[in-house]
Amino acid sequence: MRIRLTVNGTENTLEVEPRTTLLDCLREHLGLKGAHAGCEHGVCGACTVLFDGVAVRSCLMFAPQAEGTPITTIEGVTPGPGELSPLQDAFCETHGLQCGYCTAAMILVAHALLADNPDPSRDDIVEAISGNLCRCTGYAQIVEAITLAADRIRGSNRPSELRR
Amino acid sequence: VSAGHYRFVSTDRRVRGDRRFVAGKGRFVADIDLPNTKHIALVTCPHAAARIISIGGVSAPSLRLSAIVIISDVTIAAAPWLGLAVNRWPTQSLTLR
Repeated sequence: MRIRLTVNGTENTLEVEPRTTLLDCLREHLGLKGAHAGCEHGVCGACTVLFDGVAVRSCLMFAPQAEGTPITTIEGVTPGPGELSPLQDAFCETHGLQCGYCTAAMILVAHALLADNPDPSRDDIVEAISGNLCRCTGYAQIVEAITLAADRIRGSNRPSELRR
Repeated sequence: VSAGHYRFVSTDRRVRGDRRFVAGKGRFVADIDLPNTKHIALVTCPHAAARIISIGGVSAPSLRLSAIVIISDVTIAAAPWLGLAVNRWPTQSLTLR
């Protein structure tokens, strides 16, 4: 069937099987390999994308269901070529990743969190990433990265003398 | 020895490879598109012990099924590499339709 998907601000017309998952569609049809297939049944969160700003598991929905709703993948988070968003930069700075498999999803979940709550508590952050498994970093640095990014984003419009 | 020799000691270092991972540009095995790559689905038997009489009913056109492979195919195909392939299912006999 023919569907129109808006991914990272670009509208794409695609011919897909109705049973194609959004994850397979993004990876195989659109070549966006930043969303990863982990468990493929909604446990690990590696396939997370933003569905109209809300973090969802792209392995648990069909591509046709996403028609008409803006999708953001990790490729759409980067502000420009060679640039990183404050969250991406914070993950690098605090060593919030090792193998990098869960990282794209963690960053998208954090983006959704900070869009909703610019000043999250540690519990808010832990709750937000609770649906995403990381098997190497141990979560402490991931929480640290999100805290640091939240702090920086909140501080970005403050006069420099008031910044921490 | 001047302090310059120790400029990396106790300083905050960034991992060079991190940038591509946070940008979604990590390259994992599943991200590599090789021409004519086929996907494999393992079908497990729902019975604890049974004899396979035949395999059929899997000809959905949308699946673009290229082959059904059973264990004896694997042991035969892998024999040159294994040298001595051990067939753990010596009694099975199956003709593919």
